[in-house]
Amino acid sequence: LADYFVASGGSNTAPYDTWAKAATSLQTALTAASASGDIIAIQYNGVPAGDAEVAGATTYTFNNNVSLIASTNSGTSTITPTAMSTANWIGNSTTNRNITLLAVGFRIYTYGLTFRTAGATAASLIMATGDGSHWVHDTPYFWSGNTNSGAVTAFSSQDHQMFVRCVNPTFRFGAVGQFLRISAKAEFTGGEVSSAGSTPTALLTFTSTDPGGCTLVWEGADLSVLGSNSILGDNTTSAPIVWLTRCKLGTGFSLLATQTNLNRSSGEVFAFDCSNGDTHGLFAYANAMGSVSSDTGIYFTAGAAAQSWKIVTTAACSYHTPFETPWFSAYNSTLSSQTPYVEILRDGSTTAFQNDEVWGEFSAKVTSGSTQASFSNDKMALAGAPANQAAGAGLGSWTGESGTAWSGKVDSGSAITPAELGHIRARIVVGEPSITVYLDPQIRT
Amino acid sequence: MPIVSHTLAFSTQADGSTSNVLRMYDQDGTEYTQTFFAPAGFNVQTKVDNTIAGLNEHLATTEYQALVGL
Repeated sequence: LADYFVASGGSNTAPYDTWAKAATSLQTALTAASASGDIIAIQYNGVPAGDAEVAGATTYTFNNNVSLIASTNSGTSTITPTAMSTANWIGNSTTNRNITLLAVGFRIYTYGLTFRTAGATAASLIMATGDGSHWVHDTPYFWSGNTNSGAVTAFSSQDHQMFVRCVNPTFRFGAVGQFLRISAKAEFTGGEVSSAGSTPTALLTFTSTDPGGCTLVWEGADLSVLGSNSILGDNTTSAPIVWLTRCKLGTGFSLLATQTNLNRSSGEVFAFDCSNGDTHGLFAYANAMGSVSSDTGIYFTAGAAAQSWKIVTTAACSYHTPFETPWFSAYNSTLSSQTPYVEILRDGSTTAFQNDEVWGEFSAKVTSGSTQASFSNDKMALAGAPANQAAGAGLGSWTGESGTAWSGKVDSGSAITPAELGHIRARIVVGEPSITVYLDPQIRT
Repeated sequence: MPIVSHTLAFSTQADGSTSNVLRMYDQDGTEYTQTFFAPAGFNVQTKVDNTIAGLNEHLATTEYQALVGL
């Protein structure tokens, strides 16, 4: 393994193995670092002029499993990681320049790098590309100072199979129409959208010609600067899923912008314990067919967390293509016959929901010696006649309903007898468009 | 087709914030739904206006692309 150094004040003497002999071009060191495990250190406040203000569109090519670390220049050959932040960068601070990072089939780690582009003619930051590549960007600052809405910050823009992890990333945008485009399997921890620059109308999109991955798991992000804008924008060429956990959201946030394709080929978003305030333990999920979110205003009084799940369906769902909540579970410690059920509420009307509008679906292990689940529900039979769902515990068991409401329940349709100990799982399914349903996300027997 | 009408329903949460459901309708009666959350004191009307404006732009773009075969 070898260390290579890059600094504006280096002598540019091969093999670039000390700060004194540092390369004066980042690509020179990247090319020299040809063995797996090599490290390239670039002086955080001494980026060579040709890299700090690149003359044209520039692709930095990585040639093996290497690491690129922003560092203090010790004068010897030690590496002290120091992030560039907003004072130093690779790219261009005044002119539109596309900056691309390329590694085909390699594992790349970077630390503390700032990539910047500017100008008014669209120029993008393509911060990971290359088929079969695996990227870890630690403490990066992706600075799009370009003011054109056509400029993007992206992880791949082509038919590339990639994984990208970002640790404490900062994303800064130069126009409200810009966004972060992901065509990869991505995991972020921490980080933020900068309050400097412009606030994207919708932060994320997964557009790609032939995506090699369309997921993002992001924990601990500060997205408050988005305000009332959307987290996930319209997706017309991919079917992404975004998981947000313990993130700080904007004041009037929407998880999902209006989707062109009103079905689950569009984007969908999960939000676990995310809020724009000081309320904890909330859950939300949205797709083009509907959404479900924690509601602390109306809830089953005996429920565990003083919150219900509020389902809102769009015009796109139907009995045949319904909206389905995520599954929730309850541990079952008996092997006796039971009919699990979930309490539901219709607020604003005393009319019962029918079994073609709302039903429950349950999953249990009813075959001994197998982990395979079996399913049961109280859904109207295909081409059948709708019937009212059963009455629930009554309005007296709910808090916050308007007084004009209906209390009901959905169940497994018939008794089930678990053959194995473990979780019974349930989800609530809504086949009626444009309605609101409250449920207590607790399986009862 | 531009949005010609809308409804807004909300439920007040324990912390005073609101859970909002905005349903917007174009000239053909097609419904578009947007849900959002707002803290107490938040200017919901501005959010509604911006959402409708954004959807109108989205619909116009989609309609244009369909017309020219994009």
